[in-house]
Amino acid sequence: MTDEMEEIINEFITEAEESLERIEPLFVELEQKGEDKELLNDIFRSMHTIKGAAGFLGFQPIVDVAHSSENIMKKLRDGELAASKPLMDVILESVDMLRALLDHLKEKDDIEEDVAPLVQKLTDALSAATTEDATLPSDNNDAVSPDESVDEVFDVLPEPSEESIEIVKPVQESSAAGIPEPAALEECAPVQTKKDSPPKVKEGAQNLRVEVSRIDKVMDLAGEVVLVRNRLLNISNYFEQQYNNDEQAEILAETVSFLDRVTSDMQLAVMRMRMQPIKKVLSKFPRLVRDMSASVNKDVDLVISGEGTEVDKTVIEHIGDPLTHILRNSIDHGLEPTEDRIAKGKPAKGRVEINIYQKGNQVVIEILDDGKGMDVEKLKQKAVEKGLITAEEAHKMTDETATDIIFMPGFSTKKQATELSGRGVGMDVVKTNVSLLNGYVEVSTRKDVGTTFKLCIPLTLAIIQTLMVEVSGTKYAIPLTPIEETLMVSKDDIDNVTGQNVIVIRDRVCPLFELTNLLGIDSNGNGNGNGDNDSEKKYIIVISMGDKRFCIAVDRLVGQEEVVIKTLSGLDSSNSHVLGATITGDGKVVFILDVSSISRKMIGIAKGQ
Amino acid sequence: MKIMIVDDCRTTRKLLGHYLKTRGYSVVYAENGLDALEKIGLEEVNLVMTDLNMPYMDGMELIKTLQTDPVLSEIPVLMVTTENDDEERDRALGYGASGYVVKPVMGDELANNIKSILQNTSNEGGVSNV
Repeated sequence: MTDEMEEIINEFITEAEESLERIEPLFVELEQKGEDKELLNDIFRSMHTIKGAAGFLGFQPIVDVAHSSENIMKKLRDGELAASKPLMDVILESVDMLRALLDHLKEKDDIEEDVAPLVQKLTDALSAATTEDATLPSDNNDAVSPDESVDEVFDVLPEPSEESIEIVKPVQESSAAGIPEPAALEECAPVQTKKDSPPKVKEGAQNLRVEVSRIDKVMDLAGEVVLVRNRLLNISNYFEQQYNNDEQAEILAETVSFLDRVTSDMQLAVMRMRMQPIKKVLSKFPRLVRDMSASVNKDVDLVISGEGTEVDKTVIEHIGDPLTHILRNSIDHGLEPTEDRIAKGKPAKGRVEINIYQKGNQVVIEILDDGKGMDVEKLKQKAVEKGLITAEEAHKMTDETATDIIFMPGFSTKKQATELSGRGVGMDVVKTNVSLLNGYVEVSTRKDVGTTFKLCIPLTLAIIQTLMVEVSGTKYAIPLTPIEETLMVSKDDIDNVTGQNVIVIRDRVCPLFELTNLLGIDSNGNGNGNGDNDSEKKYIIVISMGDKRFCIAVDRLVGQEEVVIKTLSGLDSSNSHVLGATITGDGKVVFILDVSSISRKMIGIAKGQ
Repeated sequence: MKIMIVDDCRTTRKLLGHYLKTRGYSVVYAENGLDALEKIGLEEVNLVMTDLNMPYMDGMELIKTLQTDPVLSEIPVLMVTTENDDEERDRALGYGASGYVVKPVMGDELANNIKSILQNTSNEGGVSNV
């Protein structure tokens, strides 16, 4: 019984949070659209539902807040009041309060928020807005006092909720990217549908709420199976070669190849389980932009596309902060003040776009603003002043690499970062967070046209395709995504321009680095670290990270292998250039290199494309 | 005895379901009026407990629609809502609801309501497949 109550309370928290998340952007929409009965009804019903369930569970503060804001929503819906900014402000405040109350429930921290001032504020806002004061609700607690008998089913407050993923069987396959759109999540509050359109018919139970930990367990196991599969492939190859005409060896090869296919399918299936629409993260942005545009006094239009794109749950969890940070930066630093925009002949209202789409095995998130763009020379100058790079390095930098300065720890172009975009953390945090997801960030900027941030993140995080290479007798794995091509060149093909090794590939000059140097290990026989090597032939891996392109020289290419990333604790990937480790088909532990951190190191070293 | 719980709120459905199950009833869930109409013919339901405010089809519409069917109109309906409003209560009872209770209702009050409604209609029994 307690278990079930616990489950119900967890359910309540999840459901209420979902509702709040869903309605928050609706407020902003409402403010823009003015009166919209459907929207109002939608919001009203969500508040109403939260109130109802909270009442059953005896969460009185939640009931009080929801009830008071519901009173306002009801009047708005019934056309007795007009939506005004002060009213929206106080209702949004109540959304924040509800969220805080839910957090306390979830954390089980026993902290009690004093909701009385807010309830008073809501009541005051209502009476201020109501023309006929006579019809005011006088008592906020009518009809909502909890029944004592709730205690009967409610002996102990349960543990905080374990998160759960809702697995939804897609009702229809659609979307341009070919990703199945999930059916409408079963929500307390209704999905936005026109009143007269019939609801989607659900046949039987199609949804199953599963604890994330269980799915992760399956994911882990799938990863282990991948490792075993890789080893088996190796072994079966060996037997096939060793016992060329042996029937059993052939059967083994066949069986293993079947296992290979099934394993890949399984991986994909498990991966899908963890995918959720990125909308979850984006829903808070309209509100954020609304609040921000008011406080920095800039009019901003936020346009979001591709919010149905599905990404891994881990991405959902870690992408929120970087996106928020970039968005704040775009509004705070990117967009010009209104008067400047008008002077430049731009529309007075600034525009920020967020586009999300899938590209191959990656999810791309673009944040574009139509602001003033970055001043590259100013960036360089500041970086030199702050001692982040030397004047010589600054001079060598191309415009493309210079924009990456903003990602350097301790860099901020404004003398005093405003509270909104700054808060002490710089854009380096964005880069770090995205790197944690094995992704990378690109920036492109044009003066007076705007700035675009492009975040590229792999669809899955646990299993990646890599290229196995060898230097000084040790194997390393390099993620396949950023690799453009591999080449074999002779030593004569390598030129040296102002101290930097370069190689010309189809008329394009590309900086070349020795992997041994990057990793700070001695190359065989010749450890002077100047990139020299005795052998006449060299294998070159061409890496392309956004606009940057560079080459890494290795001794040998071993082959392509799908590996499971095992994270190594206590390792700083930005210094070691190691992302994690994996166990290869032959049972050895191999480091996976962090190409984005290597690429970052190139800033100031590389002399361009 | 089987009771259908019609509520658009997942938490409330579960909570009421739990409450009823601990009192020996079996339950079946629906998310709104339309969903209820779809499911009600599929199994024998002795009582419908419905919320008022729901998307697609609200509680009032559900009661009205049930009343138009000779078989389904025999199933008693108890409205369970946060609306503590005499007008709504009169409307619901006027349309044919057998009871009207205000959320949050639990414990003996709800149990007694259910018991008395079921007793009043016990002679007619439940409804089998339509």
